This record gives sequence, structure tokens and C-alpha cells, in this order.
Amino acid sequence: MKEKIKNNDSFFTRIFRSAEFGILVPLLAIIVVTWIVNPTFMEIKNFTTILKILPFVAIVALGESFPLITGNVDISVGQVAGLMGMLFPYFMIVQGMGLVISIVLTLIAGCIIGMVNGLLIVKLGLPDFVATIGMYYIAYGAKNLLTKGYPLSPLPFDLGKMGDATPLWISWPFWIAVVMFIVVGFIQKKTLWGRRLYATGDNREVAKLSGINADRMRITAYIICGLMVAIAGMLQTIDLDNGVPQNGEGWEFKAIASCAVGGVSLMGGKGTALGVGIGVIIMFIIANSLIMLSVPAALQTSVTGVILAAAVMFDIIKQKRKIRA
Amino acid sequence: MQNEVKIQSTLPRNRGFVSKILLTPEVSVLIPLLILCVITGILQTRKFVNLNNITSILRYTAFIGTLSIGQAMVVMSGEIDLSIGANAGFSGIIFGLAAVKWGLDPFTSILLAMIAGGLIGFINGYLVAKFGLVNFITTLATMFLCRGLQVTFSNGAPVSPLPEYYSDFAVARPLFNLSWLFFIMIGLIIIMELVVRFTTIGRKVQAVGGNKEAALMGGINVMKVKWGAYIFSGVMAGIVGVMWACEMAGAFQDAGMGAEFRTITACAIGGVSLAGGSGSILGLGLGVLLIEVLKNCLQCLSVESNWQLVFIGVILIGAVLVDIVRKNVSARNV
Amino acid sequence: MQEFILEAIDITKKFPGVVANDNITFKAKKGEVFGLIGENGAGKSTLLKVLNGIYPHGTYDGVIKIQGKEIKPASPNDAMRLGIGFVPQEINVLKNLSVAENIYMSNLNLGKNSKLVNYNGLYIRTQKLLEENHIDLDPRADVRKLSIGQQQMLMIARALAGDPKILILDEPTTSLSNKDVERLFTVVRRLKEKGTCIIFVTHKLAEILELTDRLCILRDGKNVGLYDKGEYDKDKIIADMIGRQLTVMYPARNAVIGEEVFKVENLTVDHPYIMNKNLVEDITFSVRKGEVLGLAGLVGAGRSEVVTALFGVMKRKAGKVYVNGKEVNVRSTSDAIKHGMALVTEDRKKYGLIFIWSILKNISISNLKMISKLKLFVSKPEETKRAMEYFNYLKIKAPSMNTKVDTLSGGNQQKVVIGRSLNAQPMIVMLDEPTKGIDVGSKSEIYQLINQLAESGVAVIMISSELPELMAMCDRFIVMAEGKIAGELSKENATDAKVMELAVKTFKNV
Repeated sequence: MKEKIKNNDSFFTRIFRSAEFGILVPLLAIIVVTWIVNPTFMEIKNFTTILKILPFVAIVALGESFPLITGNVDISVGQVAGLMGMLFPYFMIVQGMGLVISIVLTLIAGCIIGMVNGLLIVKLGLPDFVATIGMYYIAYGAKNLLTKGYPLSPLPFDLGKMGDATPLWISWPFWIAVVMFIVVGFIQKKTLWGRRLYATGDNREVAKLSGINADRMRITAYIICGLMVAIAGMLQTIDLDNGVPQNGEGWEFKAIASCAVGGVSLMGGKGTALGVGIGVIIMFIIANSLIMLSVPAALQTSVTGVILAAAVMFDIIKQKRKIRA
Repeated sequence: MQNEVKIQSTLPRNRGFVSKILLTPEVSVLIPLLILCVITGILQTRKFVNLNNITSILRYTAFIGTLSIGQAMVVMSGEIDLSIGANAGFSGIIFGLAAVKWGLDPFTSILLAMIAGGLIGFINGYLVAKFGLVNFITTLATMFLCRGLQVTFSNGAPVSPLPEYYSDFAVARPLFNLSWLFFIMIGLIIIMELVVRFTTIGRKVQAVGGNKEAALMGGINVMKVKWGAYIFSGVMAGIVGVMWACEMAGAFQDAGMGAEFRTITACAIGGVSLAGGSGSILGLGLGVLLIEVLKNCLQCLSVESNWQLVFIGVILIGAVLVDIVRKNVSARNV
Repeated sequence: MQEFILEAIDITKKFPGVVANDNITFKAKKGEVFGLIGENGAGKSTLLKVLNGIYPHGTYDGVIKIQGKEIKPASPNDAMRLGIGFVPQEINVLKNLSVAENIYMSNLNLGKNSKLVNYNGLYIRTQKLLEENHIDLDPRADVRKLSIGQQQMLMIARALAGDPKILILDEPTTSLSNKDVERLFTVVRRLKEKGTCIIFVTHKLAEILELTDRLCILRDGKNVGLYDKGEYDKDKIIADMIGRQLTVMYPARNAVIGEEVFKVENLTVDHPYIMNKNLVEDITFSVRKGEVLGLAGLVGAGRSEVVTALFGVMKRKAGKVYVNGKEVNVRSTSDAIKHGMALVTEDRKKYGLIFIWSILKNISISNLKMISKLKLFVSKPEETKRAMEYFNYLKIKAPSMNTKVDTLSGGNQQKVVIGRSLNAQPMIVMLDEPTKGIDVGSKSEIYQLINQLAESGVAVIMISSELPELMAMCDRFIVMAEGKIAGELSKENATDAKVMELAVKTFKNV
């Protein structure tokens, strides 16, 4: 006879206490303030525009959250996204390959890059930001090399049409991102592997004692990151109906900032897909608010920086809190 | 009981002398540098081996070279400064505003740039050394801050034209077709090498980077040392901001993009261990030189500029791997 | 003979230069609480590491048997499978996960083939485990919100999840309050009823006397006493813990003890991560010129914390310090050095030396002022000269002063650390376990050094867990227990037994 364990907290208490809620409140505050100052902010068209441009960084942020949860970082994600965004049309247009095989090859390329990062850091002991900075350079150079004179537009197989489509008033990349977030969220919360991922980042000693192969976990985290970055790069290229090397510029910082704001602790062991999603939305809404409030575009980067620092500071303060006697 | 220890001379043992020399950071940069030069010199003698080319390489080192000195001090103290490039850009804009818009004299303008840079360094130092934030993310955040301020203060356009005497200064070739900016960098390298090797400050910085707990036990104020290193790096960024502005005859709203990574690469290649606690500024200078020579060699050999970037990435990873190996080997040598 | 569920027979474990466990034999029954007590360095933790697989089969001599059959544990996980559960001393948990996940992380799918986590089933199973063992925790609770006592219970629950036949508890009450200790005892008694054999390791005599059914005393790596509950005699047990033959000769000292040079009043230090708890409380003592004051007590008594707080490494919550009668404010290590204090720490690796540096540079770092011109430029000749003095004085065995310290032996490394401290020309030298992990020959040299220091008028505070060493070297003793001063003894009054009795004093009512 199975009895259900009654959760003594009511539904509402659980929502109020969750980590994600703590992030939603500031978001709502920002939305309200901007709405008051500039009513066009709240028009449906504005929101759908935001939702159309954010899936690419969102997927990269989702990928970035994997190494972050295990306690590492990946700075190459932006350039690698750009590289993947070039590689995909390169296969189709220059090498004349079919759609499916081009997709598969690009995904594999993303995984390989992730694996190289993971091996350098976990097995060879390179500091994570050095190894991924090196990969940043390599990807930067490589992505430009792919354009040597070849036009990578328009995309074959009517992919351009897919980029213009507006299913449910938004776009295909948005819904693909939503699906990915849901899947990742499920994996993180419900699967053995997901819980072990968190354990690895939380306390490597205890994780190892519990029979977890910490090295394999960390490398796999990088591989998954590479995979997601490849997806993001491809989607961006489809959206623009063009492979341009500028794709991905600055995404690494936006991704890390989104993760930090979304509750992914830089010490590892914490952070959910939902949190990352909210973090990305916050970052983009803030950017949009600043535009609506007629703040010069450049200050956005400053604001990103300040928010990032604040998010990290709060994280540290929370971590340092004393345990009760 | 125990034997009296015969105190030998303080010279290293002769047996390990040769390998000891080979393991110094300066030499391990010099050798690949020489190899590069020789190979390119043979393959493309006309393009590479002429005074103009060589002196232009040296002139280019002035900017990243000076910036890397700042980064090196932070790295030696056991931290890192990702904001240094954006800081230089931001300080450059302040300099530009002072010199162009506010019409201030050179002395004041340059001083303002250094103060601006130092202020960012002060903030970095406070957050990392005093408050205890992770160095990487914090200086990333200040990098954002600087970039934003840089573009805002410049209204998205170059602050120009600078009064002519600035560009005259940059263009002047006092000796061997080299620029004043180059000599300023050389001067700073020499001064900082002396500081690191021979002064109490240098000792303290290396102690903090070597083992901050042991340094604490030795009576060193670890927080002050790290804070000071960040301020120094900020001031260096200010100087480089001015240098860029002089060279380009204007303070650009996008100056300094990616410069921080080049300084880290220079440190890794030049033997300033990213783990902190050791390094020579001379080695660092050679590291910067190596990067510039590499770029030039690749150009002479008509290698795509994009392949160059790939090379730099590979070399960075390789240099850090060598650093890790070097640490393991020298732990066994005496 | 199935009477005994665990048998450790002739367990011997050697390290270079020391025999940590010397033919230790003991047997424990089902459903009994078996106590293991001994001084610092008696060999307790080594024995535990052999039993729980950290030192795997092959690295020790002897036989371990469970229920009469020999086992050969190859790793901690292996030992767990074989039925030995272990709760280490340090609290180590997955703080971002729930109680249930912490307990069952090695077995989240509860033995089934599923790749998914059935949270409901997990919580039910956890609740059952906790209730069965009288552990009061909520399976869904966020571990970060638990108190330290609850986290300790969590670790016990985690060990119990593997359904062990034998549960080893290593110093479980170190961080616990009175109430938590009570709760712990309740859990242990419940386990007894269930038939689990519990090995309870502690240095707190009162606890062991109350809780255990049988008791084994370790000393110098050997098993020197076995008592049944009926025979428990506090004095006899203490005597067994400390009795030994002197194998090291301690050099004589001719120091003249002068006037008071150092005084500490009401020193209190906050616990860094547990609220409302003090590491040390209300410490008051003084030291005179030429005197060697011994700070005695067991691990966790707070001795190291006292000296590190005095040296400015840890922040003080309260307390006054007087040097030569004048109050001084020490807020950093450079303050401490300025006022004439020196500290040679216990943990050489972390706090001692800059391992990539030479002997020369490690020594000179504490007094750069002396060897620098214009307070800025380090004078190499001066530096070499001064360091050479210490090099000779301390008889450091190394090819030259430019030798990197990471190649030196432990004893010589310790000398370099002492050299660095002496270089600042201190009036008060605090030594925390100065001969820990050092060979016998170097130990004598360090004793001589301590004598020389006292003879030259320096006030010395010495912490040592080796009671004979402390007894031989010190003029006076302050014994600490649980963060407070348990008592003070003069050289005439001090005996091993009296010191130990004070050291195992409990300020709590158990």
C-alpha cells in the first residue's frame, strides 16, 4: 500500500519559496516601470519581436549552463556558434551535401569541439578559461576561413522560408528552444543522470564517493554545450537565410550573464533550465526596456556588466551564510 | 649526532646548470622566437629581413606590451584582469575628451586617463581582494561596464581630431626607425623587471601569488597587495589608452576589443605562470614579441589572417600546457 | 564462532618511519556499541581507514572478517557493499540537493532498472529509513537549511542507507550541541536494538563511558586495554591512554624566567560558519620572558585557534592582548609581527611555505625591511648574510640556500618555517605542533632550538599533542577543552594523568 507523502507546504508557499520566484519579482518590477514610461513596450508586437530574437542566445545559455553546473566555464561558445553557423551552409552550398547530413555533421562538429574543451580541462588540467579562450581564437579564425569568397546565401532546401515562418505568431527557433528547455529541464530534474550532474558540481568528493565518475560527467557537460551551440548557430543562420561570420559575437557573455541572473551558481551545483530561461528573458527585456526608455544602446553593455556583478555577489553572499548551530 | 652541514656556495650546482638555464622563461620563449625568425628569414628574405619590417614589428609591440605588463602583475599576484582591454579603451576616450573637447593640456589629459584607468582598477581590486568575488566573473563585469562607458562617452564615434602634437609624437622616429611609444614600453619593461626582481614590492606580489596563506604568515597584507596590483593594471590600461589614441590620431569608440585575451596569451607564452607567484617581465616582453613576430611571419608567408587567429589559439593552449609541464619538471630539479 | 560480527586481527599498517597500527586485534559483537579511544596519534584514524576501505586490502597486514568470513575491501565503495558503513568526522554533504537525494545519491533508482527518479518512491523510502532509525529529518528538506547537528544526522542516514552490519562513527559529536548529542545517542541506541554493531570513536571520555558496551584503548598504534562496561574505571582508562616509555631524550634547559611579557584577556573567537557558536571562549593567560608555556588539550579543544587568533589570522570577537604591559591592537599578521609575535603553524603545506621558492626567499619574506635599502630595494648580499645565519643556526640540511623548499624533508621544511618566524626577531614565539610528522633526529634539534630561544629571553607558547614532549619541554601548562580553559598546572603539579583528566573534561552535561 503506497501512501503519498503529503507535502506539508501549500501550493502557493512552494511557489513563493522557489529560487525562480526570487528572480521573477525584479523582472515584473522592470516590466511595470517600463510600461508606465513607454506604453508601446507592452504591445504584443514588441513582445513577439523580443521572443523572435532571443532563442539563439537562449539555447547557447542553456548549453553553457551544463559546464557551469559542474563548476566549469566555457568562453568559446559565441565564436563556436558563429563557426557552426558557417559550417552548416558550407556543407550544403559548397560541398553540396544533403540537408540531413549537413545537420548531422554540424552537430557532430559541435560535439567534437565540446569534447576537445572537456579533455583539455578535465584530463590535461588546463584552467577552464584558458582552454576555452584558446578555442575562442581557433573558432574565430576558422569561421572566417570558411567564407573565403563563397557566398553562403541563400540557403537551399527552402530553409529561408522556414526562417520567415511565424507559427503561433512567433517563430520556429522560439518553439524549438521551448522544447529544448522543457527536455533539458526534465532531464535535469527527473533523470538519474541529471541528479548526478548536480552532485558533481555541488561536491565532487561526495559525488565520487557515491560512485559517480566525475571526470566523465564534466566532459559530457562540455560536449552537450557544444551540441547546443551548434544548434543555436544553425538556427541563427536559417533565421537570417545567410551564413555570416559575425554571428555569435558576444554571445558568450550574454549567455553567462543570463545564467548568473537565472540562478546558475558559478560555484556549480545549482541552476535549472527554467532559471536560465528566465535569466535570458530578463536580459532581453532589460535591453528592450533601455531602448524604450531612450537609453543609448551602448549603456546596455554596462548594465549587463553591473547586473552580472550583482547576481554573482548575491550568489556569494548566500553561499557564505552561516549554518545554524 | 647530526652532522654539521657544510655550507656550499650559493651558486647552483654545475650539473643542473644547463638545464636550469634552459628552463628559464626567457630562454624558452627566445628559442621558438629565433626558430621562427630563421625560418621566415630563409623563406621570405626580402619581405621579412628588412629594417622597415623589423622595426614595424617592434613598434606594434608597444601597445599590447605595455598592457601586458599590467596584466602580468595581476597574474603574478594570483588573480586575473579581464577588463584591462576595455579599460584601456574607456580611458582612451577620457583622454580624447580631455584633449579634444575640454581642451586640456597634455599633462592633465594623460593624468586623467591614468586616473580613470586606475579607478576601474580600484573597483576591481575592491570587489576581488576585499569583498572576495571570483576574479574572473568580476573583471568580466567591469569589462562590460567599461565597454559601455566607452561607447557612451564617445557617443559612438571617434573622439577626434587630436591636436597635432599627439600624432606627431606617435609618428616620430627618434632612433632606428622606432617610435617613442616603443621606448616607453621598453622603459616600463625594464623598470618593472627591476621591481619584480629586486624590490620588496616585487617580492610581496610573488609571495602572495605563490602561496597567499604563507605570505599572510610572513606578515604580508595580502588584500592590499592584490588591490594594488589591480590598480596598477588599471593605470597601465590608462597609459595604453593614451598610446592608442596618439597612434590613431583619435580615441576610438571600439578601441581595445579583444586586447585582454592577447595580454593573457602573452603572459602564458612569456612564462608568467597563470597560477601566480612567478614570472619575469623580460620573458613577458619576449612573449609579446613572439606573438607579433608570429603574425608578421604568417603575413610574409601569405598565410591568411584568419589562420593566424587559429595559430594564436593553438599556441595559447600549447603554452599553458608547457607551463604545466615545466612546473612538474622543475619540482624535481633543483 | 558467530558471536562476533566484526573481527580485526593483527592489523598492521606502516608508513615510512612510523608504525601507525601495530598488530591491533579486536572483535565486536552484533548489537553492541564498541568504543575506540586514544590520544592524538594513537592510530585511531589509520585503523578506521583500513576498516572502511580507504587503505585498501594489500596496503596493510592482517585480516578483517565479517561474520567469520574474511573480506578484502578494495575501495570505500567496496567496503560499503561488504557491510561496513562509515560516517567521517568532517561534515561533507551535497548542499544544493534534498535530504533524500543526499542519502540515496549512490542508488537513486532504488535498485530498479529505471533511468528516471521516482521522487515519490524516493521520499517514501527515505521517510521509512529515517523513521526506523529515529532520525528526525524531512526527506524533502533543502540541506543548506539544516543545522549542523541535522547535517551530521544526514551523514549517518546516508551511511545507514546501505544497510550496513557495522557502522563506524568517527568523532561524531565534534560540532554538536548538547541536544544534538542526545539525539545522536538515541539513534545509536536504536541501532543497537536493530542489531547493528556500532564502532564509536572519540576522545571524549564521558561519552564513551556512557554510551559504549565495551571499550578498546589505543596507544602508540597498539591495543593496550580492553574493558567491559562493568569494569569501566576512569583513572585506569586514562592511565592506559597515556602510559608509555620515553624513547626520546629531551635536552636540559637553563633559562632564566623573567617578568611578564605577554598577556591575553578574555579572548573569544567566533565560529566561521556556525551561528551562535564560539571556537574559543574567554581565554585568559600570560607568559613570561624565558618561559615555555604549554597549551595542552585534545584535537578540537581550540588550541590552534587561540594562537592563530592572537597572530591576527582569525578575527577576534572579544579580548585584549598586552605586550610588555601595553595593550596592542592586532588586526593583521603584520601588526602581530610588528609587536613582536611569531607563529609557526601546524599545517606546513597550506600556511607554511611558498613551495616554488628557495629556502633563502622563504626565510627573508618576514622581514624585508631589514634587508632593504630605502625600504624598497632588496639587498641580495644582506639577504644572503641574514639567511645564512639562520641556515646555520637551524642546521638546515640542504645543498644550498637556493634550494627549492619542496625538495626538502619535513623536518627541514619545518626549520625553514621556524627560520622565517625568527627572522622577524620576535619576543613571543608561538609553536603549533612544531615536531609533527618529523623524524626523531630533527625533533631533538628542534627541542634544542626551543631551549635556545627560551635561554635568549624569548617567551614561548607551545602546542603539542604529544604529551611527553609537552611535559618535558614546558614550565607551565594551560589545558584546554571544548574551546575553554579547563585548568592550569605548574610543572611540579603536572602529571600526565592530571593533564589528560582536564583535557577530557566536558563542559556539557552528558
